[in-house]
Amino acid sequence: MNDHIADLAATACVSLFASYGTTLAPVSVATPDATPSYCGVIGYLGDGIRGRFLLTASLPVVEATNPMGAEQVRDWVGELTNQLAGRLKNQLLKRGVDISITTPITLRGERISLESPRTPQGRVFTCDQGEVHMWIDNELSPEFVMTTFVTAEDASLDEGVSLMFL
Amino acid sequence: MKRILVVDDAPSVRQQVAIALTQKGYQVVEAGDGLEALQRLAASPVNLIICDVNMPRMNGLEMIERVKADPRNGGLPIIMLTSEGQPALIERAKKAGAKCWIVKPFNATLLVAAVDKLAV
Repeated sequence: MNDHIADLAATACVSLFASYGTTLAPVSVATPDATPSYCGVIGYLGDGIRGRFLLTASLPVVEATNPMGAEQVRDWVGELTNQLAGRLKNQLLKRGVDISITTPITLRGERISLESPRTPQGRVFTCDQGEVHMWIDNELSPEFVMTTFVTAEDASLDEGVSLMFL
Repeated sequence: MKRILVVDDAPSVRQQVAIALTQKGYQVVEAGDGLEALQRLAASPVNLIICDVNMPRMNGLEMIERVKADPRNGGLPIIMLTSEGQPALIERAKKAGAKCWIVKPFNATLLVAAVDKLAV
């Protein structure tokens, strides 16, 4: 189940960056790199699930996705992480899992990774500007239930969609 | 000139929205959370509110419920701009009086069109 959730998060990450004009491709191994990274961290909580994930990227990658370019980079990393969490939340909701997400915190450092008593799922992506790393760490209780298919009646509104109530 | 209150805890998002709106002749007032938005609104009226959901101190849904509880704001249109797409949240916003729900990332042209249509 953890693999499946990580796959959903990875797919959400690729589509999120694509929506800001950056094409990500998954790679199996990260390039050793001491370049300072910007990192967003978000936690989430739902019935039978508690977790957190980290999204890290170097400055050129962050700037490439930022509609404001080089302005407010740290804030933008938090917003990107928030939007990724929203995408994951929507995908989980379509599979019968309702989570609440925290507001993001942002960090800057070198070789940032997620430490956990469990084994976090790490994913690495590459793009023209550098690499994007994502870690997701779930604590699933025995009563946690998630369907592996999308249930239409629980479908949430997709990203980029607007709905008028007139 | 119509005044739009943009409420989001991410300054980068507020700035993106502000640029899109000021280019079309709107005046933008910014707030970083629901409490600050209520203070801004009390200080000076606006023609429309654009509001995030997940924010510290006071989230967007609680904020719009408080805004709409004041009869003076009965006709004030509200657009929700958020990464959330959960039906229960959308229904709560609709019940509170929101007129539109947009899931980020937003298209600036569509957002401005919604503002053009709704701003009183």
